[in-house]
Amino acid sequence: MSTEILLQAAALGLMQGGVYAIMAAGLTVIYGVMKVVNFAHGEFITLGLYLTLSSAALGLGPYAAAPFVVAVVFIIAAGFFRLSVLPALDHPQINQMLITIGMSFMIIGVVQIVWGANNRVVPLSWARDAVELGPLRITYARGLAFLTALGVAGLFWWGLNRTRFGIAVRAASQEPASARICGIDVRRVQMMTFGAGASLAALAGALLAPIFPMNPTIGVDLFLLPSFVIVVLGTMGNFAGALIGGLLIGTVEGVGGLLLGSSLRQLISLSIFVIILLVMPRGLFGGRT
Amino acid sequence: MTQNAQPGRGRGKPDWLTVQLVACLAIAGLLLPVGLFLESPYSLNILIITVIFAVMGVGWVIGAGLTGLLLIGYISFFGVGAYTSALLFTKFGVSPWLGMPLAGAVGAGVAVLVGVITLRFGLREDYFGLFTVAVSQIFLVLLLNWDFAGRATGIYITVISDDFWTMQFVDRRPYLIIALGLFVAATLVAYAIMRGRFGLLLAAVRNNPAAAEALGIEVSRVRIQALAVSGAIAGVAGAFYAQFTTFIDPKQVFGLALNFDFLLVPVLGGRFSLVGPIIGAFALRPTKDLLRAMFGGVADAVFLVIYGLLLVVFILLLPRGAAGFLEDRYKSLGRKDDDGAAP
Amino acid sequence: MSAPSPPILQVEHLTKRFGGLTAVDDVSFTLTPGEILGIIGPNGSGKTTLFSLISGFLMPDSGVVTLQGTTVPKRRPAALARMGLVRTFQIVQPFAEVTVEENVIIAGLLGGSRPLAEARAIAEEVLHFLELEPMASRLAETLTIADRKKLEVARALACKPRVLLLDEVMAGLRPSEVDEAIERIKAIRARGISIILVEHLMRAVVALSDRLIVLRQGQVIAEGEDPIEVLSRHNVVEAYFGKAPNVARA
Repeated sequence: MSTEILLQAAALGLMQGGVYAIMAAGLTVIYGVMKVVNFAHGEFITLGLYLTLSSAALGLGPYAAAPFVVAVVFIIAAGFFRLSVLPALDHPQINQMLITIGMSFMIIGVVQIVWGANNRVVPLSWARDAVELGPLRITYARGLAFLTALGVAGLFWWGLNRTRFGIAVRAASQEPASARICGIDVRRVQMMTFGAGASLAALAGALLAPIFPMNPTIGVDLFLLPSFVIVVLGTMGNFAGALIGGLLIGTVEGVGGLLLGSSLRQLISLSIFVIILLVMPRGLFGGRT
Repeated sequence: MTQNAQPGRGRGKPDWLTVQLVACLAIAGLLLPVGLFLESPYSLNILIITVIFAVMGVGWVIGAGLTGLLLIGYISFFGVGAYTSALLFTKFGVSPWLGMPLAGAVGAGVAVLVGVITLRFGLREDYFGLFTVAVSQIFLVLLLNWDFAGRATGIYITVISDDFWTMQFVDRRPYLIIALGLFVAATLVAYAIMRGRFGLLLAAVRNNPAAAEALGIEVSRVRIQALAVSGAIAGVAGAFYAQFTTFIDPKQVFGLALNFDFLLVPVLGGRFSLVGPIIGAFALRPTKDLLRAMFGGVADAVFLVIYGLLLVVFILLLPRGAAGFLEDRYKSLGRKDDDGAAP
Repeated sequence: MSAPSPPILQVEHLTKRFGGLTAVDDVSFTLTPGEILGIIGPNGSGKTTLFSLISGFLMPDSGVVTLQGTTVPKRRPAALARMGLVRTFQIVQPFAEVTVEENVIIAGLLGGSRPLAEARAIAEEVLHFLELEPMASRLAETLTIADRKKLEVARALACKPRVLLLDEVMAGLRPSEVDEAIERIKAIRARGISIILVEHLMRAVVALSDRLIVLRQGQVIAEGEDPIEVLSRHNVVEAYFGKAPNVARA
């Protein structure tokens, strides 16, 4: 096996990792603010994929459609949260988890009703066009997905650290009681955060639409577990950690898939998952216990 | 939850735990004749599956409800049990009657392993939960790649004629008797735990691990013991499931879909109650099958939406499950009696 | 001076650092059987950390604790409790979902090493001793603060300890309740239980302590048998009130 093929696999993995990064960042932000492990996260990616598909049918290209897709998913997710998860925030964790699972069933059902159960793909005339970087060949679609993901992640990171709302989010996640005393509407912050986290997943979906054939259960089948792995790797609740973890897992999966074959590929990230949980359960950025 | 209240204090009113035990036994006793007279094999199959779900629910109540552990990947214990018995039977001709206890032992072994590893490394709450999910997925991938166990194709058990020794019955009714037997056995185990010393230790561990530790309770050991019982029950249930459905594959017996159903039963029924699992199983399983029969078109889409919606609504309305609601009613009934104000 | 009886508990050079902060700094002392040892010090002087080190909830960076002549190498709280060293928590930690009686029965089981019938008998006796009988069948979460503090002590007693670490069991009590608590602690000592008492309430400390240790920034700055004398020492006053201006002391 030549170095070139290996490099190519690593590069493709890294591109995929960019999309992983924002999807996991969405999950980690939700966990950070309200300690809810969102089992419906994969379904927000699915929604992103299918809304992009419909936009394409209306003549809107996947990248032009992205802001619209993100906005729609934000509203859906925030509404869901307000009605189902928020009232259960002081209930046992297992209840919250099963509520998000119920949410995931509903979304899968709706997607199936609206778009059907067959595999679909967003047609893109230049989907196969690629740029050559030395020995590497990267399609525009993947390159764009990667760059957009990084750009949005950077924007989000800036927002969390530099804007009033970002500070409110961090306050609500670290000291909800104190934040409430300081006049922060914690419930509203939680709702907005859930919406925003889901939007990041939807954006990941929009960016993947020209690359991945989609079906209604793709979210839970392909993206839920990698999201968990990345979030734990990068420390649960740590935004920057999720970004770095996403790039890492993407690259490792790319190379590992090449070396071990596709059937054992899943085992790589699962093994990383287990090792990280055991050796450093607080992830790469959580410090020692 | 005053499960260990001394007998006699209720002055004639039996305590809630006793009521639950009687209810469970009564339901089992009622299901037997009902099931045996059921005409349609389809209904009988649903009934048997429902009872298996209740057995699984009892196991989860012991391993997770009573310990306070966030046991999400519970299906691992079930899956290894199913594969243990099915492999022993199809490859080595070992009777499922022997396979079931062996499957229970393997399920308990896996549960202890999970407990020892996680508690040794100090994994708690979310981290424990995610670890158990990872374990179930690792089993899934490993079995998908294991030639001996049939990889993705799984294992078929053919039923040609009735044979008690190999637990193969063309007429499905004997399976109902076995399933009910398992349910009664699991319920009695759970009752003994809740009533006795171990139940009190579990209550301490669940309520406040630090205080429990300060009072001499080895929190990790107590939790691992409960996980072992839970794993054993799930393993036996898995073995029976394989024999009853005559077909298992990795995506099914280690899959997230079935796993979530197993969690929903005790949560809807009542996380640390005795009667919860059977209520949850009957609320969930036949409803699911009924909805599927009504709406399940090509791909079950409408069914999924309604099912998901019902789950969310019921978990929100009854956060402690149906049994929690019933417990409150039962106790307030007593209070009125004491005041002499009952109508 | 009579021949000193061997100590039931011996603490030698105990040190614990959190990052740059040394919370407990080379602390040594002994506890003799039947003694009440008072430990005081301003907020943040390391009293609770010291308790957590002795009871096995925290691992010390260095130092040894010896209980009746045996060092416990891998110090886990549960094992220590079974050996007869039991602590209470400053912030009470009841098992909220079960009754007061069940709380005490659980403690009486001592981690499952006693049969249920024996634990019930112990609980009955302890509830009677602390006059908690009227609350026996109430859920622990419905108790008042004063009763919760009592329950905390009741559970510790049900373990039948030889050494009892009491962490601010009188904080938040009314004066009359404090008097009652002082009498109770004396009665507990009369049962032959050695006690280490961390308390802010000077009245109780003075009334109960056979010996007093003063901590400041993790270090023992004063120790003595007469509580009032120890409390009036120059460096103790300074620890609590800061350096006095140049005013002649009476």
